[in-house]
Amino acid sequence: MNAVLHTLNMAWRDYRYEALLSACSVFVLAAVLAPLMVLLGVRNGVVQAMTERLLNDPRTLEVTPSGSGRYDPQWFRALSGLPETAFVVPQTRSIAAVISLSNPADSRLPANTASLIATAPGDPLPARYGLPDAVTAPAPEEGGQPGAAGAGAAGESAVPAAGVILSESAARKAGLGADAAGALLEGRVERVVEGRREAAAVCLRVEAVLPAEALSTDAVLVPLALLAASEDYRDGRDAPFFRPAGKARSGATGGSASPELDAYIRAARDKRVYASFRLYARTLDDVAPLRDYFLERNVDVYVRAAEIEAVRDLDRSFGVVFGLITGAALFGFTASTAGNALANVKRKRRSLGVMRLLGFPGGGMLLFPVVQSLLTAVFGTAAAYVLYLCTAYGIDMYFAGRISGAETVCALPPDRLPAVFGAVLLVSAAASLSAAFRAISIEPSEVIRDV
Amino acid sequence: MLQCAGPRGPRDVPAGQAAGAAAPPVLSLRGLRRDRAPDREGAYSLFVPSFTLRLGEKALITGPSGCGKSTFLDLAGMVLRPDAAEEFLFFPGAREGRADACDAAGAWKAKRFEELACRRRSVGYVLQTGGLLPFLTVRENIRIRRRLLGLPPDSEQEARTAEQLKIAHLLHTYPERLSVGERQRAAIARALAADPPLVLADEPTASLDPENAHTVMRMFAACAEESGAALLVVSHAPEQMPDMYFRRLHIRLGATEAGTQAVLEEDGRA
Repeated sequence: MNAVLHTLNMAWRDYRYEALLSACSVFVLAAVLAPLMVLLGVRNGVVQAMTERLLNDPRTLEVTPSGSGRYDPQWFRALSGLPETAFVVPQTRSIAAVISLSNPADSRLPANTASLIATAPGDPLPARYGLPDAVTAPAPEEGGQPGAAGAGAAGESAVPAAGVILSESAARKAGLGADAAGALLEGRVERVVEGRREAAAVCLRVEAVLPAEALSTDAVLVPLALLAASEDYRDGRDAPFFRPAGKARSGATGGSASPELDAYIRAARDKRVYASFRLYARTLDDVAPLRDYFLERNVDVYVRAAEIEAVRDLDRSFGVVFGLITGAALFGFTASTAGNALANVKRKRRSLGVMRLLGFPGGGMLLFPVVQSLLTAVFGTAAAYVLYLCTAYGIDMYFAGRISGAETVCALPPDRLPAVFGAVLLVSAAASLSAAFRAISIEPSEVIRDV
Repeated sequence: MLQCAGPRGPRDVPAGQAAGAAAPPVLSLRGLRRDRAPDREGAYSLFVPSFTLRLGEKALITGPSGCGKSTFLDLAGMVLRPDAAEEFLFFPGAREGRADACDAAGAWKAKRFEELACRRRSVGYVLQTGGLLPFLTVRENIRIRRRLLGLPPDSEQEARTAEQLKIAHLLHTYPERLSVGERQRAAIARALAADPPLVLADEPTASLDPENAHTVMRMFAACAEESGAALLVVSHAPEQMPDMYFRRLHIRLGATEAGTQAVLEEDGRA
């Protein structure tokens, strides 16, 4: 073992002694590898930038049914059981999902209509912007913590407020800014019963406000049960949460009757049939399978599949080009490494023969050219990486003006580097194998008298 | 007299002509044969009926050019495989008084090449031209045999030998900067490092001018004698040898049906 280490040291000394030649082979490798790294970086950077752009748009992963249907709890259980599904929540008919919002704290502002969107814990839409997702249904117990201020602002109601998330435009129209968390709004829905126009109100507590790019419409994200109650009310049924407008009664519609409210919330979740739903795919790759899933069931959905497919296409095309260039470079590099290693062994055969004569072990002789190839691989990869960093910096500088935000054009993911390095080592070692066998099969008596 | 012997060198070995039957053998060969191109025109075969070299002995082999002197040295140095060998014993521990023998014939037959490589570390070999590793300094070249044997560097012996061979000022130089004569002296220093029981030399001074050759050969012989190693020198010009006792052998060429046959014989018996 010791003697083998001595041989490896000899390989290193020889490599160092011929520093100029070694440097040449290092630069040959760097010249092959650096453009590949840049190409890989550009591919990753561009695709990553486009993917990020897609992902930054929350609608990219959304799957929306274009019509309405009848979706029962079983359907939803099946949907949420799919591996492609990140999040699904039922949605009522859109006609029933409107509410009129007014801000009791600023009576000069007109009431504005906003659409109701069901949400539930785990909703990716608020989660993407770091907002709390657990929009709670009104707390079952009476006289809740919103306290006197809340009750006073929303009227005389003692019904606890329902937590909601507003879209930016809905908040703006209600006179609220992005920091509106905690503000109370009054929501009002109307119905016509036997020719009479009736209205009911609910107190909404703003938990958060979505940024404008998340949702461009006037909308309120509300707990599913509240949406269900709104639909029930419009359909002429009794509904919790809502108290008849103008009646100064408190807690009449369920705020105090917690077992009933609980039952209602559970039924909204577990028994009710809905007309629509909101669904988010887990990843970009899951959108197309989900679309196909719905197509099979005759449900028309709207997805951003085409945009995603365009990026995927670009990625694939890049991949093919990259693969071809890598193949050509690999061939060239393997041939040049093998040739170089063989030529070296041939050139140094006398020294190698003398080493064998001196009693260096065969295993060491075998490793002599391999070690030198590996040294070239290590230094060459390092040099290539430095070249790559310079080029990547240049590319990013050049394209910086044309690209928005923090996206980079040339980005080699750090986790790819060990793979690149390992591949170079492997190819180098493999390419020097024939030289290694030539080195070990040198007969000292045939070469030690060469001059 | 024994100034340049290493610390492990036995001081009581009678050098030169005194090396009689009492000294332990270093090399013992019987029925050794090496063929070259046996099926073609110019077939040639070297045969060694019997040859024993003892510690402290100095042997000189002469013969015409191309008779197989170098072939014999390579066989003795265990770098060339014999085609036949009744007995081929090398005693790496001869200096230390150990009688354990390396059965080189068996090792060649069984292809135990690593064992042979290991044994070669106990043999000093001086080539006709240098044979120094170009990527090591003179000192590192000299130390390499000790390193391979797993011995620590012996600076004292190194300095003495370098002094004697007049290369002390060149120890940190790379071989390419040395003259041919300096390279030969460095190669001799390398062969003598680590106190090998056997030192082989293949025309060690043939690439030098006659005067230089004589000087270098005398240094070599003196150092080898002081080290107590068995010395086996091949030369086509025995007149260059210093005035020292050398046991003389020569390789006689003869024609047979199978081609040229070269036989190693003791002088005086021919």
